[in-house]
This record gives sequence, C-alpha cells and structure tokens, in this order.
Amino acid sequence: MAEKLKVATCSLAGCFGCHMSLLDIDERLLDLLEVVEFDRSPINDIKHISQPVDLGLIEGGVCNAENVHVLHEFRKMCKILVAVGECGITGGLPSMRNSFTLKECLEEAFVRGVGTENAHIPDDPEIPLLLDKVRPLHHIVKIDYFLPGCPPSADALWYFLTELMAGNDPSLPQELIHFD
Amino acid sequence: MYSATATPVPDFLDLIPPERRSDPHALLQILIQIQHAYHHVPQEAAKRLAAEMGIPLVRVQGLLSFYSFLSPQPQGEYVIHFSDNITDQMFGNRELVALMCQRLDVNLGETRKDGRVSVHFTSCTGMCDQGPAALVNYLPVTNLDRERIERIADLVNAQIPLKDWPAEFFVVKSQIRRSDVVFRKPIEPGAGIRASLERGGAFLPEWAEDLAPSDARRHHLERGGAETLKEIYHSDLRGRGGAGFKTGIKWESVRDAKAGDHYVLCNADEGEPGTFKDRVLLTDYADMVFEGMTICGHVVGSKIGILYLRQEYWYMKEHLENVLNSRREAALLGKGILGTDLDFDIELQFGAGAYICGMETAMIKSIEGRRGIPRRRWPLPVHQGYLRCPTVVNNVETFAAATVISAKGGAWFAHNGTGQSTGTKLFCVSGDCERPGIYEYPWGVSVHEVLRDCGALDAQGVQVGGPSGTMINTQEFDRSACFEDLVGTGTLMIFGPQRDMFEVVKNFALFFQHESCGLCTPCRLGTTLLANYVRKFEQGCGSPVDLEELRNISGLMKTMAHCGLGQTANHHITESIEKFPAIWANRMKTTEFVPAFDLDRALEEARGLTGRNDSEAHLAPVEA
Repeated sequence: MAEKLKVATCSLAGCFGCHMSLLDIDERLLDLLEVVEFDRSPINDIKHISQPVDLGLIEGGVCNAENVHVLHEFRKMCKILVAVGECGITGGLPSMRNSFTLKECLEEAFVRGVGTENAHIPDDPEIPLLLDKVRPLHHIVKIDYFLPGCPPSADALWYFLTELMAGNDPSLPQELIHFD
Repeated sequence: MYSATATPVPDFLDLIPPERRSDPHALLQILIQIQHAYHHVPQEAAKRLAAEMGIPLVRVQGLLSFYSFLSPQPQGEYVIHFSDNITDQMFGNRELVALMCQRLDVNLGETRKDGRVSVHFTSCTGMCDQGPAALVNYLPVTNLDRERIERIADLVNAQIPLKDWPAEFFVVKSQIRRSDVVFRKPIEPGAGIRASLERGGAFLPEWAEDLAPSDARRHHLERGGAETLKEIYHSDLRGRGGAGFKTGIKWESVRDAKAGDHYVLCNADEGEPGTFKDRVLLTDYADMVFEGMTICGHVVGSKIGILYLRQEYWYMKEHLENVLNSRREAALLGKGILGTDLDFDIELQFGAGAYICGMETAMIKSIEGRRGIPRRRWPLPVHQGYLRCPTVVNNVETFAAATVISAKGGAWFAHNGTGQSTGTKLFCVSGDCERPGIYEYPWGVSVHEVLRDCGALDAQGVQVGGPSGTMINTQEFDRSACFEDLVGTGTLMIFGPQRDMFEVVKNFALFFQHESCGLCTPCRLGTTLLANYVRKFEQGCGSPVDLEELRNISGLMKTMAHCGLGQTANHHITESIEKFPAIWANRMKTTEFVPAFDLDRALEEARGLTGRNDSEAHLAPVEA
C-alpha cells in the first residue's frame, strides 16, 4: 500500500463550521482514513505539527498574534496549504470589526457592555493580542488553493480531497460552488 | 454673488425652465447647471427635482455619487481640480498641489473652513501637451508652474472674481505640429453637405414604402444620401474612437432600421488619458465635425444630433454654440438645410466627470440622464440606442473625416493609409518630447517616425492609445500605428530615459481603480486588487508570488469583465511585466511571499490598549 497522505488542519478565527462539514462526509471518513493520516488537527487534539506534511487545511481568518504563529507553522510544514471557507478566504464574519477601531470594539465588549463588572480591557499576557484588522490567510502567507463556501459542503471537501489525492489540480465543478 | 457655504436660496430651481424640470432625461444636465451655480447640489435641490420629475430621490443621488464633478457636499467658492495624468505628474503636479494647498491653507480633497476654496485631483483633463494643468471653477488653467500657483493662490485669497484673472492663465493652445492631406486645408463650411445633397441617390427601401408621406424617415430617404453612403463605403473609413468599426456599415444599419426616430450622437467624451485631439478638432475644425454629423443625419434619416462633451471641455460651450448659430444662419443647420426640405439640428450635452461615459452604451445612458453604466451590446445602438431608437454613435474625428469624404470622395480619402486603415489620423503626442501637440499622419506611420518628428529619440518607452492601449519599449519603435498593428485612439505618451516606468504603471492602476463604474465584479475588484499589488511592490514587499497573482487577475479581467474598460484595464500590468521586467524585479527584495503590511505594527494598537510589551506582544518577521 502506498504511503498515506499526511494532513494537518486547524481553525483560526473561524467557528469550526468547516471542520463540522469535514465530519459531514459521513461514512466516507472511513475511506478517507484508509488513505490519509492526520497530524495536528482538532480531530485528534495534536497541538503542533510533528513533521512536514503534504496538506494543510485552515479554516478561519487571522485575528490575533497566536493565529499568525499557527499560520506560519502550517506554511512551514505543509507542502500544500488550503484556505477553507469564507473566513479563511476573505476574513469573513469576524472581519466585520474592521470598520471599527480595535479600541471601539474592546470598549464596547469589556468597558461599556451591559452587565460588565470590573470594566477594563483584558491585559493578561496569556491572552493573545488582537491585530488591528482581521486578515484573510493569503494576506500573510502564500496560499495554494481556496476552497469556498460557508462552509464548503461535505461533497465539495470530499471532491477537493479525492481530486488532490488522485494527483489532479482540483477545480470545483459549478454545482459544488453555487449557493443559490 | 452666491456663497458656497450659505444655505441655497429656496428657489434655486428657477435656473431651470419649467418644461425641463419635469423631464428625467434632462436630469444630468440640470444637476450640472445647479453644480455650477452653487458649487454643489444641495440635498434640498435633489429632493425638489425628484419630486418635480416624479422619480425616486435615490436616482438623483445615484447621479451625484457617480459623476466626479457633481458633489452633494458644498465645495469652495473656488473649486480647483488638478489634472492627475502621468504627464502632469512627470512635470511636477504633486509639488504644485502641495504648494497650492500650503498657500491656501487647505487640505487636499477638503473645503476650507471659510468656504472659500477646495482643492482636488481629477483624471486627465486633456491638456497633456501643455500641462501640468488644472480646472478652476471648471475652466482649464494650463502650463502651471510655481509662479502661476502662487499667483492663483493670491487671487483666491484676495477673492478676485475669475473674470478678472489674467487671461493668459486660461489660454489653451491647439499646437498642431504637423498636418497632412485631410487637415492641411479644411473643408469650407457647407461644401460637404452640399456635395452630399448634389450627389443625391434617393432610394426607398422596401420597408419604407408603407410609411406615410409625412413621416420624417421616408422624407429623408427620399431626399437621398445613398450615394454619400457609397462614398463612405469606398473610403473604408473606420471609427476613430479606438475600436475601428467600419463607419459605412454603422450608418447603413441605422439607415435601414425601421424602428422609431433616428439619432446621431457625437462622442466627445475624450477621457482616455493623453488624448486631446477632439479638443483641438472642436476648437479649430468644429464646422467640419458638425457638418459630418449633418451629413450623417442626411444619410441615416435623422433630424437630431447631440454632441456629448466631457465636463473638462465646458469652456468650449460658448465657442461651439457660436459655431452652431453661424451654421444655422448659413442654412447649414436647422430647418430646410440649404433651401431643401431637409431638417437637422444639433444640441450640446455635457458629461460630469466619468471616463466610462466614453463607452458608447454608457454615453447613451448618460445622455438619457442616468448613471453612465455600460449595458450589454445586444441589441446594438444602431438598432436600439438613444431612447431605444436606432442611433449612430461616432467619434469627433470620424465625423470630421466624413465631411472630407463627402466633399472630396471616398477614393481620394482611401488613397492614404494602409490596406485596412485608410486615410490619415490625428496623433496626440505628449510627455518627454521637444514638441508636444497634434500630428496628422497617414495611418501606418511608425512610432519611430513620430518620435523623430516630435524630438524624442531618447525615449525608453511609449504608451500608445492611452492607459488601456499598448505599452512599448525601444525594441518596438518600428511598429506602426494602424489597425493592423498598434490600434487605439492615436495617443502617444512618451517616457524619457530619466523616468521610472513603475510610476507610469502606478498612475494607470490608480486611474482605473477610480474610473471603474462598479457594475461587474471582475472590474470593480480587479482594478482595486491590481492597484493594491502595485502598492505592495512600491513598498518593497512584492515577490514572484505576487507577480503571478497580478498575471492571474489580469487574465481574469480580460476574459470576464463586462465591458472594454475592465477588459483592457490590465494591459499596463501585463505589458510592463513583459516589456519592462526590471521595474518589477528591482522592487522584489524577496523570493518568498511577504505580507504587504508590518505584522508587528498591526499589534501596536492592542499593545497601547493593554499596556503590554512582553515578548508575546510582538511579532518578529518570520525567518525565510
């Protein structure tokens, strides 16, 4: 049997919806596990990529310093890096804060918010600092493929993975990327 | 005396004759009138117009947001628009704008607090051979230098009315450096239309036999014009606006179109940066242009012609109206032309600052009083154009050529030029040369020959046909200007050895970003993405990855954009990559992708808000 394709996944400023969609490929997961092996992923809770992998799937945009570190790790360790879903591709819903200053956002949440006690902007060093703007992945590293959708359907993910494993350049057919 | 900051007098619609106030087609022209009088279009004016016309307020607001020269916010008593073509930039307009703003104590793009003055940039104003240029209250001021800027600032600060400013500020020269057979000896007013009438050639197509004898179309067809149409065919004249469609086919299509009234539109929305031949033609040869429109009216059976002039040429209004009046007096226009029962008249309409309105379907929308957004070109304007009627839309130079063809014959005209490009062409030469201006050559002239004649043999590159045209380097100077090779509007912007071609690319990228009409995604986003990547290279953050992305986006725009603007708005990118690779390579400091922004600086605001400065509060540049 050929060596299994090594895959890493993560969610940055996302909602895990894209990962849910990956689980939605249902019993095909078993087929997938025949041919791929997961490295770092929320599926197995491995915290860091242990060795160079073939494929990295990232959902979510980049909103804080930790996201940047994770994204850099993925770019360094993944041969092919894929932005999965709306937020990874455009910044998505979290980037709606980009039309406000960070100060306005944090004050709204932690100072002026209804029912806040001990109102102040959190400054604990364990909390990653927020970037001034939420960024799509390709603003920070080179991205090889963009897999659109909110989330991309299970079929789109399946099609993308199987095409890539077959050695084809995955280009999604119309029926998998139209949303109306 | 109005003041831009004062509340508008409540009856400002008095400017507008009552019968026009209820005509939505006149909306744009009315807004221009209000803009000129009040230096903005007050909300109250918009509301009253919408009510009087019975149209939604958003339609009025839609025009205000679309056209650059209309503004809902009060502008200064003196509104100064600096032309920002690359040629203006090369001759120092940035320093001049900075000096002007400093002298007037005003920020660029804002109105001074006392409401006296506002300073803006605008796209090319068509004065490239005598720039840097600006518009002051919509009138062109040319040959700007530090001294002139200082004098203008003094005049504004002293609140001297524009009519008392030195006349030499407003001098616009025609600068015709070379004329050939067509423009060496202009056709006498009337000679073209007389020849057309004498040539005769009445013929009634089958469909027209049902028309009532009183029908204008039947009337025109019976008056002839068929023989003149043959001459246009013999001349093999092709449109001078850039696309080069055969004029004979266009005119015949309208002549044969059964539906509705027929219209003749002359496109003088000369927005392609670097182009100014229409300005010179309408200044020195307006008779020939109007006569061409009249001949066209004779051929296609139309009674109404409209000259659509860009706002930047507002200063010509009086001159053109005088020419039209003298033609009416000489029975060359109006009712009963030259004693026949042929009627044809021409009116002027103005644009309000939108490059896209040079596109024929956008221009038609603009003349109908709407946002100038191009539509799909089926049906063609020859079948459904202005007011959904069969319409000829031709460039200013095309109509002038038609006059010559009618007077001298198609064969005479076709004698010059090349196989597929007959006749002569006006070339607009600007940039780094000793003698900028208008040059008339037979089609097929080589770039090298033009460069020699205008004194620019040391050029490193030439932009042919404006930003949407072709960028060529020294190896291509033997290429010829004709439809077989380098097509376009006949514009040559010349860049000397001292210029950084990257600045040219940047100027064009920002121009297209500003001028995209926003209708289709490939163009609206594409032009912005191209501009962003160009800025990224400017900051030294470009890499081969970004260059590849520029190529991808360009390819996408070329194949997917709705109209010619988007399809060509990427030429400067792909061609500069191919022909001036060094300007891109020199700016690549890395072979790996790097962000266009500083990651550590992106945390600065958060550091300030939390007071943190620990190691986790910083992002070091990633090691390659």
